[in-house]
Formats: sequence, C-alpha cells, structure tokens
Amino acid sequence: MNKNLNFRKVVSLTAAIAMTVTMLAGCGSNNEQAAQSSGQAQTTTSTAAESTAAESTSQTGALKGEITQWVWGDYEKKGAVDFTKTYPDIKVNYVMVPQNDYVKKLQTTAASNGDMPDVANLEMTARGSLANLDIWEKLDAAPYNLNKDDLVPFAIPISQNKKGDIVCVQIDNCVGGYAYNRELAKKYFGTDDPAELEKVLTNWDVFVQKGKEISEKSGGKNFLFAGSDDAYYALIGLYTKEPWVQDKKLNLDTTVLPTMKYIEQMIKDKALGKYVMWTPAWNSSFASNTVVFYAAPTWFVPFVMKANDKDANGKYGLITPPNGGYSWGGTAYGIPKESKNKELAWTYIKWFTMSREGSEGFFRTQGTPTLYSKVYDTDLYTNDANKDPYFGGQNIMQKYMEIAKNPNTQTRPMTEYDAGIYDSIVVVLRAMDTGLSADQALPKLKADIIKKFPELQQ
Amino acid sequence: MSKKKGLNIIGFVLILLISVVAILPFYTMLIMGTYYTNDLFTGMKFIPGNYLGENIKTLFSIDILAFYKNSIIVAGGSAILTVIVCAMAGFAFAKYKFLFKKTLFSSVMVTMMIPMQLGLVAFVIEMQAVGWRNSLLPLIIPPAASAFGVFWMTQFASSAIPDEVMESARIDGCNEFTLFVKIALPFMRAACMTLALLAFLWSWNNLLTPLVVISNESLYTIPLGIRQLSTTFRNDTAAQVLGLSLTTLPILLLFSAFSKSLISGLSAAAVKG
Repeated sequence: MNKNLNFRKVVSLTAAIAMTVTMLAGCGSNNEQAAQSSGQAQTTTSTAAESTAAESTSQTGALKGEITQWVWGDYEKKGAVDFTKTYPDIKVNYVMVPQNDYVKKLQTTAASNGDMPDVANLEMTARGSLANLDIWEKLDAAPYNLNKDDLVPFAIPISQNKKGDIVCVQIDNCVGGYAYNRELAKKYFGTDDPAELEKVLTNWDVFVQKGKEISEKSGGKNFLFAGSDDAYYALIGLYTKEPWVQDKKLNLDTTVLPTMKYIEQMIKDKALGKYVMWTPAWNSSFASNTVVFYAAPTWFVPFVMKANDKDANGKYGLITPPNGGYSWGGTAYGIPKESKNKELAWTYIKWFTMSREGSEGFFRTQGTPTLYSKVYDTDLYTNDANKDPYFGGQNIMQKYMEIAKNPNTQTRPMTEYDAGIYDSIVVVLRAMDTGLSADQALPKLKADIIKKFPELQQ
Repeated sequence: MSKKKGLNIIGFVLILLISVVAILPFYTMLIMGTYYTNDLFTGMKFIPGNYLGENIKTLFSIDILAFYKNSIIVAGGSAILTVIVCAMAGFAFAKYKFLFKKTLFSSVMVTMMIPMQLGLVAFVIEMQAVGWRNSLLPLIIPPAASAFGVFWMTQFASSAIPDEVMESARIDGCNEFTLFVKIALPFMRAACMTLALLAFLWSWNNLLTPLVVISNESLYTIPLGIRQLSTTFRNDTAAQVLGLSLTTLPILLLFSAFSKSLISGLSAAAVKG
C-alpha cells in the first residue's frame, strides 16, 4: 500500500511537471535563441546565395523549379499568366495570406526562423518598417545587380531601406490624378472637359475656393471630396519630397501641416463629406452622386471605382492635379534572405517588374502600368485601344503617363515609422472632423507619435 | 386569480422583449448575408435582400468547405484532448498530495495571466523544431494544456468527488487509472461537457495561431480562410457575414445539444467555487 502510494506520488508529480512545462513553453521569451538561430540562418543563407549565383551562371536558360509567393488576392496569379509561357519550368505557388494579417505573419515567420516565401509582398503602408528589417536580399548588389535606370525615378525612394539599398521592386505604377463626376463638374464648373477643368483648377487655393462654392450652391448636399481622408490623400502629392522623420526628428511642419491647413479650411467651408475612407459607407459614396472629386491613382480605377460603381459608363473624367501628381500605394516584391530559390525568385520579379512582356501581361490583366521605364516611350499604355468608356472614352492611361513623366511627381522616402505615423494622422483627421484646427492638431499628432516612438524628437 | 394572470402577462411580455433583444442581432446577421455589401449601410435591414446567390457564389470562390472541414477537425480534436488532459491534471491537483503541488498549481495559474501574443514567436519556433509547422497539430495538441481547463477541473474535482468513494474503490482493488476513468470522470461529467464546449469555441474562433503556423491554404481554418474576402481595396462584408453565419451553426447545434450540461456545469462550478 505504501509502495503504491509512493508510485502515485511520483506519477502525479511527473504529470503535473509535464503539464506545467508544456504550458510555460509557449509563454516564455526566447529572443536570444531566436537571434542566434536567425544569425545562423543568415550565415547559411549567404553561402546559399553565393552558390545560387554560381549556379545561375552555369544554368542560364535552364531555369527549373518551384517558388512560393505569399499573396492576398489573385493580382499576381492573373498578372503573371504569361510568365509560365516564357518560363514553363518555373512553377509559382501562390499562398493566400489575408492582407490585414500579412505583416504579422511575415514578421513572426522571420523572427521564428520559419519557412519564408521566396517572394514576399511589401504593401506601401507597412513597407517602411518591413524594408528596414534585415531580412531582405539587396537587389542592387550582386548577384541581382538591379539597374536603377530600368525603373522610373520616383520608384527608387519607395524601394530602398534607410541604408539606401534596394530591397524590393514595386510592381504597379501608382501615380494619381483626380477622378471627377462629369455631371457634377458640368453643374459647378460649367464644363466636364478635362482640359478645360485643368485650366480652371490651377492651384490648391482655387480648389478650396471651389469647394466652398459647391457646398453653398448645393445647400451642403454635394462635396468637393468625400471626406478628410480623401482630401489628405489628394494633397499628399504637394508635400512628399521629404521623409516624415529625419535624423530621428519628426519632420511634419513642412510635410503634413500645410495639408492639414487646407483640410481645416475645407472642413470650415463644409466642402468635405463625412465619409471615412475604406468604410462600406465610403464605398457607397461613389454611386451616391454627391462627391465631385476623388484622388484616383491607377489602381483606384479598377479596384475601387469600378468595383463600387459598376454601371457608370461615361460618368467620370480624370485630370492632372494642380501640382503635377503624386504616387499613392502600391505593392512591391522582395526576396527574403531565407528563400531557398533566390535565382528563380529574381527571375520572376525581374520578369514581372522590369520586362516588356511582364508589363504587357500585367497591364492587360490588371489595367495598371508597371514602373518599368523602358516602355514609357512606347504606346503600350497610351494607344487608342486604351480609351476607357467608363471615363467617357477618355484615354486615362495617357493622363497617367503624363503624370508619371512629370518631373514634379515624386515620392516620399520611406522610414520605419511611416505606418505608425500614418495611423496617428488618421486619428488626428478624425479630431479635425469635429472642429480641431490644424495648429491645434499638429502638437497632438506629434505627441501621439512620440508616445509610440519615444526615441524620436519633436 | 386575475392579479396572478396580470403578473403572468407582464412576465411574458418581459421575456418576449428580452428574447427579441437577444435574437435580433442574430436575425440581422442572417439578413445581412442576403444583401450587396454597399447596401448594408443604407439603413437597418429586416427583410431578406436579393443578393444571397451572389454572396454564396463569392463565398464559394474561396475553398470554404475545406476550411470548414479543417475547423471541425481542429476544434473537435482540441475539445476532446483538452478535456482529457485537463481532467487528468485537475484530478491530480485536486486529489493527490505530492511535492511542490502548490508551486506547480500556482505556475499553471500564472500562465493564465500571460497573453498568448507574448510567447508567439517562441511557440512558432517550438512548432518548427518539432516539425509540426504547416500541419493542424499545433492547433490541436498544445491548446490541450489549457491553464483555465486545469483550474476549472481542479476546482470541480476537489469538491465533486468524495474522498470516501475513492478510498472505497481503492480498498476494492481499483488501480489509479481505473479510479480516474470509472469513478472520477462520471462525477466530473458536467465540468467536462462545459470545458469541451468552451475549448471547441476557443479553437473555432482562433485566428492568430493558424495565421502564424500555417502557410498552406489547404489547411486554413474558417477564421483565417474567410478573411480572404477582405483585400486591400474592398471588404466584402456581406459575403463575410454570410460565411460567419453559416459557421456559427455548429456552435449553435452543439450548444442546443449540450446546453443542459453546460448550464449545470457552470452553475455547479459557481456554487462550489
């Protein structure tokens, strides 16, 4: 009996310890180990990269194998349909990862030394922080040797990390114009002709003035823009040449404050609707015929306007913004250091982003140009076949190409703080919607950012 | 008599009102799945719309049936294992005396206070090390060691199983395992059913763990799979609501089937503390 009791005690103790250890295993911090394994992995990877480069030279023209890309839609699958014709022996496996959770998955996988994809997507919002993680191959260095001249100049700042290394290549040219509702333009501007409208709307002060007129004439029923988010995006083109953070110091007085002042004025004039961007209510604003202008980059036309306002042929027009243009959004492709098929991944990215064939395929299937500069002087995007009935037969690609070639079209260099700063801007915009002035909003914006990133200075 | 009747009517009306308040969100959820997303935000909808077919088509554009199957395997497996592991651990903590018992029980309790997110990277490394990544195992086996489950079972077992019955069984020659299976478990039935339902629910709704350990679409569970209907540019709320409505059905069925056990388990634990 006593022996039995001792046995019971041993069994109970063992079971309880096993339980406790199992539960604690998932809870403890293991950063050191993670860092060590990550270091080991990096060493292994560079050796792999070297051998891959060597194999690349010997295997030119005989590329074979499989690569995996994490995607959040069928954008790539459709866009790369011709890739498999050129490279029949390269199979691309697309793994759907929800877009909202993409960064979390990528970061966790990288930190845990897990199986990274061969090609990863870096969407613009999170690109600043992702690109600055030391997990990417340098594409402007050997063995890749990306030629910067293959891309339009404004694509470079949005492909680099803070050291200036190119770590990704954006697939889509996201320059933006202003799409407008032709019927409302005729009503308030007396014309729906894009050229005539551009002559009227020569600068932002005129724009704001016209917003006030629209609100007054319509009795507050029609708006210049759908909301303050839209106005913010429409204006970012004016102030995107400098980064939001320079030498660990916030640089918002010249980059964000002027935009906020215009927004303050438009809110006072009741020129902005109450739609919060990306909400379903905002989606329905397109069909509501109450909003005159939308900031419309290239992707906005197929994925937002045509998706939310389906039967609207002839309803819209497109003009160049007063300052020349801006770039908003976009998805870039990078090769993680952990990729086991770097050469194939680079072949895929290069074909997609820097080849005539890839540009043609992507434009044909997605209606969006790439940033490959060598086709910009051809009529690939601008020929008459591209006239869009949705825009009343206007050749909107011609307009986008004008904007893309405009030397004033620039992009803001990325920082790892951008996503956090943008979230704070959105919070402050909501406060401005309820009457906060730009001068009151700026200190709040800075304080909110410093709370997130205490290492930064105001 | 008429006063009693009056009170009954008031009681009935009150219950009716409370029922409406409870059922209305579920009803509107079902109705929302029959509309075009943009139309959902033009006012409350009480009558079914005409977009159900399109939403079903959208829903089936993703591999919803595979996600459903995976969720059932994961939630079912997790519920069964959680009950087995936690019942055994709870029984051990409640009925045996052994070295460091209090310390071990306290450390189990401490893990309840630590958010899962904090140990996420370590958890993923662990799963990678044991070769379970890209399989359903990390969603089924580790959750079985549920701190709450152990606490729940310990509390229940300590008061629900009389020591005298256990002693009698031992005198009659019952070994410890048989004692647990044949004597203890029947006493813990209500708590087991409650824990099984809760474990099923946690697992069914879990998004974070599948997100970080699975990179193979064919193994996605419903919460992860259904998010494919939301992209950078558009959130198909109606199709997502329809999908979620359909996926709440197993939970509703389970609750209906085991509601008595769940309620008795909850109330017993509440009384026994």
